[in-house]
Amino acid sequence: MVKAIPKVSIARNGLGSYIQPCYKITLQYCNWGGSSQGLRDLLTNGKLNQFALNNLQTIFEIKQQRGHPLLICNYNNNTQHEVEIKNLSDSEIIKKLDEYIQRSGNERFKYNHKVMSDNDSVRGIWSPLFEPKDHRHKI
Amino acid sequence: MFKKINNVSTTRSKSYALKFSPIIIRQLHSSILLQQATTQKKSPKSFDTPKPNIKYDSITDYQSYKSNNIYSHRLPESTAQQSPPLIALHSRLNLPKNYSLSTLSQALNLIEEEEGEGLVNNYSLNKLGTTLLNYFINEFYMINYPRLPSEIHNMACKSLIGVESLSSIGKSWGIEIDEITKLDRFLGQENEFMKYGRLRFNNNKENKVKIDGLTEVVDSRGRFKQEDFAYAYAVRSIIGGLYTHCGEESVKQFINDHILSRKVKLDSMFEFKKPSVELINLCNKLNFKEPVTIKLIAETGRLSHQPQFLAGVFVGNEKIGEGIGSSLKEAQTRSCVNSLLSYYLYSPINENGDQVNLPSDDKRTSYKFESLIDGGDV
Repeated sequence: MVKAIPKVSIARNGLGSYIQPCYKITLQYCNWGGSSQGLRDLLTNGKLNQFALNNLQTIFEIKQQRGHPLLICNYNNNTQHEVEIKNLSDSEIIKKLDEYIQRSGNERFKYNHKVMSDNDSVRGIWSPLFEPKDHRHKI
Repeated sequence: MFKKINNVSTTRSKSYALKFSPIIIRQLHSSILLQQATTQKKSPKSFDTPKPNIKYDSITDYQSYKSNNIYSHRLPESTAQQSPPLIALHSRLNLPKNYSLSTLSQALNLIEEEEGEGLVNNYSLNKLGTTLLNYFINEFYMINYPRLPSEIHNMACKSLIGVESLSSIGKSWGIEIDEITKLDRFLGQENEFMKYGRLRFNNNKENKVKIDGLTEVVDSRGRFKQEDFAYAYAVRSIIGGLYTHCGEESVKQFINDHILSRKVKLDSMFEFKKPSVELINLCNKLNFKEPVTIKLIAETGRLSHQPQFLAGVFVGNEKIGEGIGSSLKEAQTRSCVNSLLSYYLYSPINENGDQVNLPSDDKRTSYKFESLIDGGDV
């Protein structure tokens, strides 16, 4: 009698468990260029090791390639963010890392909406029947 | 005319069974076993599980099972500890410390033992995980929604633990697929331990020509790719591995946190062909003495371009449900659907107004069925 309509459940990250969306960061540096000086400092002075130990849930990959240095952040919604870090000092790069490791991977957008939810409204949709009978518009 | 081609998924599950072919024997525990293994005739075409003549010390002693497995070996824990993706996945999922990294690596391995390096694959962990998932999810819906029709119940379980859902969970866990060929790995000088933390399955990429806009699908309806199945296998195996290391309680918590926390829109899963007829059948079944009547409760703007009607379903003086529609017919149908849904989606609470206990909640005290017993399907 009753037929079932196939549906897929909706993920609610943070409810029950939280999985950090940023799973991999590639640090790309140049061994020769001056713009990579900050990143080279970061790699040699052990600050990155400390940072990686505090963020065990993310893989840090180090890649040598000529050109300006880059941070390539991979998120679990199949997106990649490339961050330019040329001429930044090591502490500034740590700040960038800290910022991008916490992101969701979605594009940033201006939040203008009053409510954003997967759930239905608790009060329900307004209906003209809520208006008392005497106040209704009469034709 | 056309030859029916078997699904790849079914052929793969068949070929999961152990085959006899030249194997690398490591971690050998007794020479007698070796003789038994080598004297067996090679039969590469048969997919049946071979029954080596091995005597176990006792059926309940699992350690004796492990030592009898000479066909394959597990990844050493020291090797697994050098794989960054494994450590990252372990801490991302917040797994307990006694969940070993080698089991986690095994859960990501779908390659058969004789085709790869002889490492054990996740076949058994997947079976275990499937059983656990089926049990806990079915239990949740059985107890919390006792009046769900069986089709809706099955669909609700499928929406949580079907391939589509599980593969998206696997992707959200940041599991990567091992797509690098041996040559690239050699040329790129990649750390050999990296691959133990990636999802490994036979995708036969090397023998295929890739064309833009074309994707290979596996199942008959053309919804899933091979990687979707691989992700689902991996997720189930990780859950199975959790059971082997930490027991039932932590598995239950893990399933609650990661899978039951997803939202399932039960009310949008129902499809009624004739709601009013079904409602009347239901009322007959419930032995209501008075007839079902649908009455107009309120209306507004009947002559305008946007009229609204509020209809209610009554049995005697009792209102079962109501619905709003922009025509009389629509309001009638909606009120019938709403009253059917309010019957089916009934969720019991106990005397204190809390959620009902599940049978698996407390093992020490015998389970007492608190919720209302349902009348069954319409």
